Amino acid sequence: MKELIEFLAKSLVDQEGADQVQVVEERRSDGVRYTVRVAPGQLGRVIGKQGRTAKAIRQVVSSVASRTGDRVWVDIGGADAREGDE
Amino acid sequence: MKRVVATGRTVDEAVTSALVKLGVTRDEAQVRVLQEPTKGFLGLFGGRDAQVEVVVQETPEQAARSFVLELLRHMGVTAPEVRLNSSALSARECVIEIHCAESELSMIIGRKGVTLDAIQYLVNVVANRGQSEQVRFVVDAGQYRRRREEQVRRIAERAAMRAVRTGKPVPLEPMTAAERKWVHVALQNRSDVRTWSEGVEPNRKVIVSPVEVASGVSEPARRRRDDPRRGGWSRSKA
Repeated sequence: MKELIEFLAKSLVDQEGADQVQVVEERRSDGVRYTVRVAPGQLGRVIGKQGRTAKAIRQVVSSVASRTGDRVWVDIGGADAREGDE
Repeated sequence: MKRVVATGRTVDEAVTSALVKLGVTRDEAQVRVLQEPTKGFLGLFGGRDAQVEVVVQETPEQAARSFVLELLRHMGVTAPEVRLNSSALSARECVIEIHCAESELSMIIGRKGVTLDAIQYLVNVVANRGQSEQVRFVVDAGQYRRRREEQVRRIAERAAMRAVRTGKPVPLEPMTAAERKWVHVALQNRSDVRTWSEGVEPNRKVIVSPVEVASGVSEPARRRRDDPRRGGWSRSKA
C-alpha cells in the first residue's frame, strides 16, 4: 500500500520533486494512516484543482484496501505542510 | 518525459548508466553533458567524474501505458495487460483497455465505476503533463463503459416513454458528466421530450420532460433548449 501511494505521488510531482516524496505509515488501533509529504510548491500537483487529484488517489487506495478489509486514511501534505503552503 | 542524471568516469560510461536506468537505447534519448570529466593530479587525486543528463521524450500514449501498467501492479493486480486504441473519431482521443483476471475487475472498476473514473483522471493528468498536444484518455475494464453506455441508453428510453405517458418530467438517478451526455445524445432527436441537467455534482441528474403539446407551443424543441428561462442544457454544463 505504501508503495502504491509513493508511486502515485512520484508520478504526479515534477521530475525534480520525485526524490523528495515521502510517505509515512502510521499504524493505529483502527487502521493505517499514510501521510504524503512532497517538496514545497509541489503540493498542488498531488492535490489538484478542487482536490480532484487527492480524491482520485484516495479512491484508488480505498478500492485496494477494501479488498483486504483494511481501514486506510491518506493525508496529503500533512497538517504542517498545508499550513506552510497556503 | 523521463529524465535521469548519471555520473561516470567518462562521458560514455555516464551515458550508458543513464540509458540502463531508463531502459532505452541511445537513439531514443537526448543527451546533455553537464560536466566533462577532469583528471586529477597524476590521474589519481582531485579528478571529477563526468555528469550527463539523459532525457527521453515519451508520447502521451507511451506515458499512459507505462503509468497504467505500473499502477495496476502496485494495486496488486496479477499480470495486468493494457491495450491502447486510438479513437475512430479523433486522434486526440485514446481508449485504454485493461485486461486482467475476472476476480480483479471489481477492484479496478469500483462501485458505479468510481475507481475506473479515478484511474482515468490520474492517467490524464500524468500522461499529458508537459506535452504540447493533449490526448484525452478513456480507461475501460471488462467492457464496463460500453455496457454502462447501453444501460444508460435504455434508462433514457424508458424515462422518455414514461414522461410522454404521464405528461410529467422524469428525474433520473445522479450520473457522471459522461453518462449524462449519453442521455442527452440518446434523446436529442426525439421531438416529444427534451432533457436538461439539474443539481450539483456529484448529485447532478438529468430531467427528461415531455414537450407540452397541450399548451399549444409550436416552437421546435431544439430552440427551446436555448431559452434562458428554462435553463436549457446547451447553456448549463452538461
